[in-house]
Amino acid sequence: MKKNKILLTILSITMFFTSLTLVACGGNNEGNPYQDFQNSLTTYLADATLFKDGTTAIGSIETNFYFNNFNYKNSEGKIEGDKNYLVLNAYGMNYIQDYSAYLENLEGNYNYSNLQNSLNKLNESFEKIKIESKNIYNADTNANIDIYNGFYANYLDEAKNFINAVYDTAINISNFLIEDVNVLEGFGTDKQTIEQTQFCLDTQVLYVFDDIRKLLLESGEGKQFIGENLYDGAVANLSYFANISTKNVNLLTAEMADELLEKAELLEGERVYLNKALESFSLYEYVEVYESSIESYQKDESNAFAYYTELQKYYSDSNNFLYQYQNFLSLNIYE
Amino acid sequence: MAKAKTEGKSNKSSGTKKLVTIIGVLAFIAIIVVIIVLSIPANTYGAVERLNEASQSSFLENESEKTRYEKSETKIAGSTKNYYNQEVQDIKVLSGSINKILDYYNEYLILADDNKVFSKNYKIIKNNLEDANTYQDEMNNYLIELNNLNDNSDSHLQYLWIDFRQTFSTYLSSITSAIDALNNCYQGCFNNTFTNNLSSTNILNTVDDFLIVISNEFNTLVETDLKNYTQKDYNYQSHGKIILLDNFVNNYIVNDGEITRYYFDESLQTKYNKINSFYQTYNLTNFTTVIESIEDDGKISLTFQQQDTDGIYSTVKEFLGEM
Repeated sequence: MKKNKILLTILSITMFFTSLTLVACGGNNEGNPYQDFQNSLTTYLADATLFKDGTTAIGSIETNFYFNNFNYKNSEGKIEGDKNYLVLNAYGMNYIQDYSAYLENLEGNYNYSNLQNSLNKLNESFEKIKIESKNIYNADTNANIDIYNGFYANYLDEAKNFINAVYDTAINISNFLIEDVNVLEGFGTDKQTIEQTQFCLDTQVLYVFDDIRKLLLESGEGKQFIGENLYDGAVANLSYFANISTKNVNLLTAEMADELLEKAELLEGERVYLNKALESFSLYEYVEVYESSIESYQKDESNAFAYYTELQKYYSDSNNFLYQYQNFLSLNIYE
Repeated sequence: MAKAKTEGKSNKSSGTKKLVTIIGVLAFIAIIVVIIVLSIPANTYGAVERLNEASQSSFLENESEKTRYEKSETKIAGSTKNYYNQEVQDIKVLSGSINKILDYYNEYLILADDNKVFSKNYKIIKNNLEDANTYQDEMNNYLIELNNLNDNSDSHLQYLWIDFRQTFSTYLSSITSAIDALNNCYQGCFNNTFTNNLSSTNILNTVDDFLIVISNEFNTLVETDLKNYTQKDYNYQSHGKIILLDNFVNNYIVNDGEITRYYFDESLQTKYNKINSFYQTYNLTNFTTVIESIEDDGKISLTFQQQDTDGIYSTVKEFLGEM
């Protein structure tokens, strides 16, 4: 009898905690961050110093999120800063703006915690870059180069962090829409829609931009290494993908949609090994510390050559995967 | 009496309970230990390190070793055993091919998934590369001795060359086993990537086939060309195969365009589908019988009775680089 009581108590406690866990892990439609996204975007755009007023084109990408005062000084005056930051930020913010709108009126129980967390971090980063943006805005244009560029260095750091947070948020949105909301259901069949095609392509370009962001802003620490093969290859690919991303998309045949998905899956598979290489290879150190000598790098990191080769295959070799992929998209998918 | 009996029963019962508890605890600990042991990843990094070293220091990769070998080559060429010349030259070519193959795998192994295939193969890679390194030292010792020969006896030269060949043959066997295991890892430890595809499968399997055939032929040579034998007993047959392997490695491994472009190039997909259909068409599992028939001039002498109406065999011969 005593034993039964103990067993029953244990069972009850277990069931209680299980149900608590289920409730915690389960979704509920409360906390849909749609309005939070709208508020954040409105706040970002309202900041007079951070983003230029209205729509600005950077290459073929038009955006409301063009970094203002993104320049530094040299003896000739103010020079526009690294365009890669501008392009990466523009595309990522555009994606957030377009696809956070899908959250409006979403029916069903969803777990929004990842979305909310990434948006919170994005907002935190925004607050920091806002300060640095104001600092550089306020910096006297007649101030000597060192003072001006001192402010610019801080601004660039926060811009890098902001862009990293942008991509974290954008990718969380894409994962949420694909895995939780299942927006691509029916894609690859006769029931597929042009909106699905657009979403699929925009998301593929987002992931590619994220791959390039990882190389330029993380592995390369946001520095420009013009003339460095790996850097130049990644930047060239950024330009190719930026260019095709603004083209019109036709409704695809089911077979072409299948082929698109197959290529996307291969890129996703390759990304696993790309990330392994990116984790262990620093483009910044390769150039600055080892003076672009892979043999020197190899003395400190015995697998440097293997990592470097993988990165070249992905970003910069003559048959690099990104170039082949954008060529496939350009010839078969976009108008 | 009844109380004593009860107490006795109670003691027995409590003792049994204790024993059961101890066994239960021990069994639980054993289960935890087994789970921990099974969860610990195999020490696969040793294979990566070993491959790294091997690709940088394989036979005739470094200049001093090359110089030593060429000195032996000159000595043999100037002796009455100069009928070994082609073999001596071909070993240089073969070593170069092996180095390029190891370099290729060295670019991948560090990134490989640490899965069951890796666990099954990493020791084969590591142990065989270590053995190969040991044989390489022995080979170098024979070359040093050969180069230091003062007497004019070509017999001693022949003995040393035969000893060298025997060790080289064992070295080649180890390298072949290591490369086969590396191929298994390449195909089994990279999931859904651009560079693990039908073209890479055919190319890397063909490399294995070449090495197996050449390794077998060196083993045969070891058994048939003995000390004090003369040229009439010497039957070296690997020249054509070594040259074709070298061309193959340059065309498909060093220049790996057909691997990296496979998924984006329909003509490559057609080509490799055709090559791959060879096995079913001719009821073979690999290209070894075809490679065995490669003659010194690089021609493939093997023919099949069935007609090659789809051009499958001719595509394979072109793929192998028939001259």
